[in-house]
Amino acid sequence: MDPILPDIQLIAILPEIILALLACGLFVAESFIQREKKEQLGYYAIGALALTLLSTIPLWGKEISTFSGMVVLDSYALFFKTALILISAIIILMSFEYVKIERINLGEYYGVILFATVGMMLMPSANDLLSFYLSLELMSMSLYVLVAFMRKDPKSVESGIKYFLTGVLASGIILYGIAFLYGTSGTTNLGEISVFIKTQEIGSSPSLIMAFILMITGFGFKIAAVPFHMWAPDVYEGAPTPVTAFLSSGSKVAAFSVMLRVFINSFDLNSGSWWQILWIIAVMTMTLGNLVALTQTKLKRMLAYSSIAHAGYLLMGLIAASQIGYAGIMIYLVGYAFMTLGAFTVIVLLCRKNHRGDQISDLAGVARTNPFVGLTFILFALSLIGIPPTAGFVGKLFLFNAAIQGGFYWLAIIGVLNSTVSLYYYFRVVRVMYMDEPAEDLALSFSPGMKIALGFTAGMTLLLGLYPEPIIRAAIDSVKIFL
Amino acid sequence: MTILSIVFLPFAASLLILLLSPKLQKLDVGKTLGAVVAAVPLIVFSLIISLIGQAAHTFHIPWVESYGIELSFLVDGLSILFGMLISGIGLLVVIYSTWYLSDKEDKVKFYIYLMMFMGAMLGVVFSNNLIGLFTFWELTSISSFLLIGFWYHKEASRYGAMKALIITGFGGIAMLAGFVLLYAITDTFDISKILTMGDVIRSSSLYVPALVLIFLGCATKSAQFPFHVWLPNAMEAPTPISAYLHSATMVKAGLFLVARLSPAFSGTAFWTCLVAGAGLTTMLVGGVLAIRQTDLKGLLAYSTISQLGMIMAMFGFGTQYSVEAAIVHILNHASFKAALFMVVGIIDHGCGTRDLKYVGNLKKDMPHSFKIALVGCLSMAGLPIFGGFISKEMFYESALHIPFVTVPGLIPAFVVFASIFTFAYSFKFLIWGFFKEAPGHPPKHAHEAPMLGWISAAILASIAVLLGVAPGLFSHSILEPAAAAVSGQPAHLHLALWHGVNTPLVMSLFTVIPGTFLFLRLNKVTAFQSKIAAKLPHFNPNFLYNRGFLGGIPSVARRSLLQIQSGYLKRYLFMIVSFVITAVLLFSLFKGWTLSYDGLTAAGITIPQLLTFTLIVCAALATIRFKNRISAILSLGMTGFLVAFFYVLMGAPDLALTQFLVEAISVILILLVFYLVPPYFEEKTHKTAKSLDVVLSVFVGVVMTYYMAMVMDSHFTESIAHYYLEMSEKLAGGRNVVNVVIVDFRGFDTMGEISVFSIAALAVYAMLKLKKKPKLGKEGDSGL
Repeated sequence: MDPILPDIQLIAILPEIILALLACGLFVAESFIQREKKEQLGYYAIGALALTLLSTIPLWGKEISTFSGMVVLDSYALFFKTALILISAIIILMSFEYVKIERINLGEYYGVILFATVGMMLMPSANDLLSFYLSLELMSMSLYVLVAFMRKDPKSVESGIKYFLTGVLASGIILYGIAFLYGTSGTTNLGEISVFIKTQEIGSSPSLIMAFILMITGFGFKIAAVPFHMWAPDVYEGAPTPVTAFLSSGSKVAAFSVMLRVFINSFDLNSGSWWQILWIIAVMTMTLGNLVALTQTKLKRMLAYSSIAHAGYLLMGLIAASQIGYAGIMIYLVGYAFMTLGAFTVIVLLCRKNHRGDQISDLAGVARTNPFVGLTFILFALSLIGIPPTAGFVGKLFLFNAAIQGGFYWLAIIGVLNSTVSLYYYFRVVRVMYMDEPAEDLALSFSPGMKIALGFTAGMTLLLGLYPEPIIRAAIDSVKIFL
Repeated sequence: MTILSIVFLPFAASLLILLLSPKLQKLDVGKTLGAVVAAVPLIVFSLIISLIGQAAHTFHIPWVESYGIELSFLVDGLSILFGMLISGIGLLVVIYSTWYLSDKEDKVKFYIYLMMFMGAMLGVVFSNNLIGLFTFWELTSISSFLLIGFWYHKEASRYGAMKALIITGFGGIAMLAGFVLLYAITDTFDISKILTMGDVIRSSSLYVPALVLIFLGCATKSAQFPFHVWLPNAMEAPTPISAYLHSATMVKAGLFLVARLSPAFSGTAFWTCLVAGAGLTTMLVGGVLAIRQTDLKGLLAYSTISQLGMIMAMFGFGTQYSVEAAIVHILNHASFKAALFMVVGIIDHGCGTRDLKYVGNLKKDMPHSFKIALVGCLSMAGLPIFGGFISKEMFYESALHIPFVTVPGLIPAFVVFASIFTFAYSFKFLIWGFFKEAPGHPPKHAHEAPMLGWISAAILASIAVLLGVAPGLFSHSILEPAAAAVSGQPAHLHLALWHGVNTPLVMSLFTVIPGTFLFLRLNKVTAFQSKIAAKLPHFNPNFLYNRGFLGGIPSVARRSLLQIQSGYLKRYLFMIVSFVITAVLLFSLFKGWTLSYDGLTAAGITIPQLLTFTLIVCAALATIRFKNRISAILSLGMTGFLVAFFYVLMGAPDLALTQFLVEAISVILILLVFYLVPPYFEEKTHKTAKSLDVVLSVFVGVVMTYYMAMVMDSHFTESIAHYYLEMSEKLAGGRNVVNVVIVDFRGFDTMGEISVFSIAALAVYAMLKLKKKPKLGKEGDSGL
């Protein structure tokens, strides 16, 4: 009897393979490039991402399950992969100027971003608890390094340590949850778990409940949901701004993408009442995030809390447990990524030599000296609040609608009240930009990369708001695999 | 296509000015820019005129097809009426602003925002899709925010701008939730379809929440009590803006939406109670507060609140006649109120202040303004021969026939009482401003504005007269179709000043006589009001906004923040762990799970096992007690080795061997790392924190043990061991199953592990080398 080798279709992870190899190449090339010319590696990274994006094209429409079912490639995974590649590219674009100003223009910076991207891209493809865990760790490890990248800045180092220690605890908790789930069902494959779960009453199985709570905790940490959010404001503030942007967009998008697959597959959200814990977390997350954001004077911290609040809105879609809800999460995530990245780009613009520029007051009068920047920020603010014609509105409409159709009226109403609070703190920033006196030496750190990043994020925020038809179709088609 | 150009022409104008703004800023635009901009509302106005007489129709452009959202417009009597108001008054306001804005002002910005607002407002009234309507609706809030904050150097402007945005923005988002509920009922966002589904909507269980949420949007926008507080602060805007946004158009958007959705929602007791109740309360509150004001603009702001409440009440009554009355009054109010606002702007310019403490007796100095104000105030007071008289009589008449009200005479008495204040503040404006001498002196000597300043107001005032003496000019072509669109039945208006002696006329008498009396005693009344206000400072929605929203929520948030976001990593971990444990415990308590001892007893504990277990506990305790790091590390290693011994006792020597190896390596590694840090722990933990930690640790231990014991006897799937035991010799030809698994079955894994270890070793070696040659020069820059 011949040994049976599994039929591995490497094409399913072709983009990841390309990107990982190119990232390794970047590390090799890094040694041969002088410090002043490290920017070239950034362009190299952009090129690598572009190539990766191209390599996804032949994969559209394919449905592949490989590595003994551990990795799948479907429209859902591709949807997120595309978004993540774009996010990563924007991060690199906004980094060029920043790393020079903060004197962290080392080649590794771009390489680690690429590795994190590989991890993120694998996450929506993970169809097995182990492949999910591995890709999550690949992403997390890279991010730990990135957060502490300004190693001479005590704040950055402190936030790196904090992020690492809490992150490791969360990973441990997820692993424990995986152990319980595996122990009960006897498999780590999400599809097989879902078959097993359908025969079970989750609420009456202690080990399933335990697994569920542990997984919620771990995911809650990764998406920064209350009460597992405490790391976020500290880390967001200390990390280099583009990395903060990466954390609040890429990391959150990837975590949600895999959370959706794991939860929809392995826990039957339509039965029993045990998922009400999600309800509590969602309400706490949006309320605390928004209320505390009100009190912030630092831009990065404010956006950190607002990003916490957004995780709360997103959970509404999961609670609703319907096609609209899941599609809503996908649409909202993409829109959210662009608008957050845009807002962070504006912060990066403020960063000058010897001036961190992360206070709200640093934006004083910016709209009057740079009308275009003011206008784009209004756009991002509108989108973050959920006012048309922006991407944030479309997503929020779906999420609210999902909550209401699922009968969660109170959840929707709490969401509405929260949006009002967010209106206040976003527009407080707009007020400062439009109505305060500009500082005398206000010169924004514009570079070609920044212009592209700002223009692209603003364009996408508006485009997804004005013509959301394609993304809605893509999202609704993608979530069909779950239903 | 006409409709598209109506809505998008102002937007295009706004965008064009924006694009040209760098060039325009450099040029001295003077009054020419205003003159050019005035063409936009003029074109729009004439386009809307061309629509008059057409049957109601819709125009669609697909937008989000999968979701039933389209760019769709509805042309009917109601939208035409509002469209005419928006473009007509817009034209007059642009003309007025060319005089009002001095050359120092940033006119370019002004017209960008103004045109944006006009487009948004036209979008609101012509929208046939709820989502489209919401889009334009929020745009009006934002352009209002920018326009109120036009004089950004004043703190009051910034405060007013934020306040207006937050209150109307809140309403807008609530309204969106209401729209989604409406979608859940009707399965469409199309307004014209929704209007035909009134019976379905009214019988739905979601009727009340949907109505309340949508009405929140209308009430905040139209400054209904208790949301009216933003409107007086919005008066910080330049006067053309106040005249346009905050009296004639934007604040009427709420009324518009109530009117628009009337066919779908009205006709129930709840509707009348909610809408009319809010309207009547607002009417009274606005009137009572208006008579107190000495700032002319403040007076007009409160009077606007009161008048908006009156119109809202008429829509709330929900009868055919009351709807007609409301429509007539919308036109009346727009004409006289905008005129009065413009007069205030002229007074402000001419005297340097608009406070009645300093200005008065302007009759002679400002003859044109006086005539305009005379018409405006008399119309507002509801006296013949002006339009205000007709609509007020209609209002009284409709108040006599309200459905769902069981107490006869209650509502008529209430509206008469509220109107007394209307009468009084109208006369306060007129008499105090133009006849009575003021106690103080204005900073400038009063002078009249040039014709460009008063011409717009004069046109509005003449419309107010025409509405009284020749209402037939408007009734058939404009007002009747509008009323019909709201009530859903053909309307026939018989507008006239004289209907013979009837109940409304008697009611008018009961308004005028006490009104005059109130006016004559105004000083005493306002003094009394101030006394009450001083005694009850908290009895005020403003207090709620300032202290509650602006002050209270952030301070509560800040306090809780200090607890949650302490910055201490230890507390963060503490919270995460305690959440997990509490959740687990709550679930088991909730489910009433009890421990079954079968699992424990089945395992059969032996004496050596028990001994080892005791030793593990001792070693663990020792780890946390030791003050010396090396001892602590060693005793930590001890627990590991003992666990390995446990495996031996359980009959798994291979596993134990692995555990021994791993444990040895970790102890060495930890020792290596800690070689670099001081040998003793510095205890800084507070006693209470420490005991909390102990409690949590014990808690975690107990709960997890309990859980594990419970899970013990749950059904596990079949072990994979049989497969390896059976197949190791057959497939790989080896009897040592563990070896076969490592090198054969999982050969690739082993290879991967080896390479990972090699790379890690290389890295460790590299780092050790780095340590050996610390960089010369800077201290503290070496090492990691």
